[in-house]
Amino acid sequence: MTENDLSFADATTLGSLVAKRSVSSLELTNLYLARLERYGERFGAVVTILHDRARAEARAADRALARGERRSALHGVPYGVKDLLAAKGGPTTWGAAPYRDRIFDYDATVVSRLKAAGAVLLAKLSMVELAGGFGYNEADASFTGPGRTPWNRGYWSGGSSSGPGAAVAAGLVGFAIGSETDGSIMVPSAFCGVTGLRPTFGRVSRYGAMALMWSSDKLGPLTRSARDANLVLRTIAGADPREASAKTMSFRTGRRRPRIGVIARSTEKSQAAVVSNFEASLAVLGGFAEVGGEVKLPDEDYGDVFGALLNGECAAAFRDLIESGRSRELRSPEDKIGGYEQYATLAVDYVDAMRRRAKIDRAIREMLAPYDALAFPTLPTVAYPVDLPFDKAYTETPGVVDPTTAANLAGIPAISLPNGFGEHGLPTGLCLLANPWREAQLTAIGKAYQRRTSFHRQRPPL
Amino acid sequence: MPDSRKRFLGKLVTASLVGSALGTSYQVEGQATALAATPSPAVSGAAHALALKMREFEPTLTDEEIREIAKSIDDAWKSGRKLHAGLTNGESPSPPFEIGD
Repeated sequence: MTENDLSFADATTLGSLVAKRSVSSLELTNLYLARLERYGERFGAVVTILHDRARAEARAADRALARGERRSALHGVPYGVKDLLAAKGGPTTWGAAPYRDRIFDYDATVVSRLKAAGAVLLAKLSMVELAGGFGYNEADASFTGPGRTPWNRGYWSGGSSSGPGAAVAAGLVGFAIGSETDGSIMVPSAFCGVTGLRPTFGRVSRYGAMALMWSSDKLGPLTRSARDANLVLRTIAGADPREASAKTMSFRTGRRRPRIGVIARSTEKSQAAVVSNFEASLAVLGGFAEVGGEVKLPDEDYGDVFGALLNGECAAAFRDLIESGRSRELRSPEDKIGGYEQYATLAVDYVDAMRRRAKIDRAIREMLAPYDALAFPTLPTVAYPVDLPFDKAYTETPGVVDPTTAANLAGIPAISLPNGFGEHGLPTGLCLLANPWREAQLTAIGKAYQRRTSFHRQRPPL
Repeated sequence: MPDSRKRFLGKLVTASLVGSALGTSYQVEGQATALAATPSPAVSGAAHALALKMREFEPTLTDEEIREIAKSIDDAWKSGRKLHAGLTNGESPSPPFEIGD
C-alpha cells in the first residue's frame, strides 16, 4: 500500500493495518502530521497541529500493542476534532478571534473516550466562528479564513465543521469529529464528498464542547465510509455523569430489507446534477431496500421555530461575549452585530417556539414511523464559491433544506453519503433520516449503498 | 452550516440584513447624540430603542449597524407573533428537550 493509499484508507482499514503491525501508529501519525503541514492551510482546514501530543499517543498505542493490548478497532488510528472541543495540548478557539489564545487544560468526553480507545489526536480542525451562531453569510467567517473543499479550492468546504470535512476528504486525518446544530455535519459532508453522521440528540456527551444551542447541539463523526461512522459513533457514545443530556441507548437496526421513503418535493429548485444523482441513488437503494412512498413533511415554519430557539439560546450561551462588546473582533460582518439582535429575543417567543417544537416532534415521529429511513438530497446545490456571499451565489435555491431543520428540531439522526458530482467537479450528497436511536440502521444502509458505489473512495486532486 | 441561517436561508424571522438600506439619516456625534437618533419609519420605535441600547455594550456601533439590528429585532418580534398563532393555552413547551426511548 502506498503512502497515498494509506492516507485515504478508511479508519477501519487503518485500525486493522495497525493491529497487524503492517504499519505502526507512529508511522501513520507522522504521515498525517506531514500532510496536515503540507495541505492543512491550503484548505483552511487546521487551527492547531498537536505534534507532541499526537506522537506521545501514537507511541503509547504502539507500546500497548507490543504488550498484546488492543483497546479497540480504532487503536492507533489518528484523527482530528473540530476546534470547539476542549483538548489538552493546545488552544481551543471556537474558530473565533476573541478566543484564539484560550486554553482548556482538560479533554472533552469525546476526546477522552477516543483516547481510551487508543486513537491518536492529531489536530484541532477549523470551523466557522462560534459554529455560525451569529448569522454569517460568507465562507470567510473564521479567524483562520475560509474552509475550502479539496475538490475545488475556489469553493467552500461547508460549515460549520469546515475543517473536519476538508481534512477527511483530503486524507489529512483518519477520521474527524464535528458538531451539528442545524446542518453543520451534513453540509461539509456533502460539500467535501465524505460520510457524515449526525447522531440522535443525547447519544454523545457534549462535555467539553462549545455550546451554541443546548437543545440542539450534537457531536458526530465525519469519515471516509459508513462503516467508519458506525465504528466511531459507538466509541464516543453513551451516558456521561458530567453531561445530563447524554444517555446510553442500544444501537438498534430495523428490517433486513429496509423500507425507505422519499421526502416529497425534495428535489425542487435543486441543481440538475443534484436531481440526477439523487434519482440514481434511489435506484441503487432499490437494489437492497423497499424504496417508495412520497412522504410530505408536516406543514410547519421550521425556520421560524428554529430561529427563535437559536436566537434565545445562542444569546445566552455567548452573553459574556455580547456584553463585553468583543463581537466586533469576529470576522464576518454579520457576526459582528448578530449577537445584539439575538440579545433582544423575547422570552415569550422562545417559549412559543418550544411549544411549536413539541408539535413538530410529534409530527416528525408520526411521519417516520412506517419507515426505516427517509431520503432526500443533502443540499440542493454543490458547494458555494468562497468569494461570494451565500445569498448571492445560488439565488434560486433554498440553502439548508427544510428536512434538515425539521430533523434537527426533532433531534433525530441522519447520515450524508457522497453520491456523485455536479458543477465545477464538486460532490453532491444523499441524506437519510431515521427514527431516534436508529443510527445503526442508517450506517447499515450506508454500508450497503457504499458496497454498490465508489463515490466514497474517490480522491480529490490535491 | 448556517447554524444560524438568517439571511442565507431567508426563512428566519430576523430578516435579511443584506441590502436592507432603510434610508434614514442619522446624526452621530458621540453616544449621547446617537441615542437620540431617529428611527427608520420601517422599524418600530421599541426595536429602534432596544438597538440603540446595544451601544452600552459597544459604543462604536454605527448608525447603519443600529438600523440593521433594529430591523432584525423587529422582524424577530413579528415572527414571534406568527409562532404564537394557533397555540392554545394548554399546549406545553418541550423543555427540557429530551428524546425518549
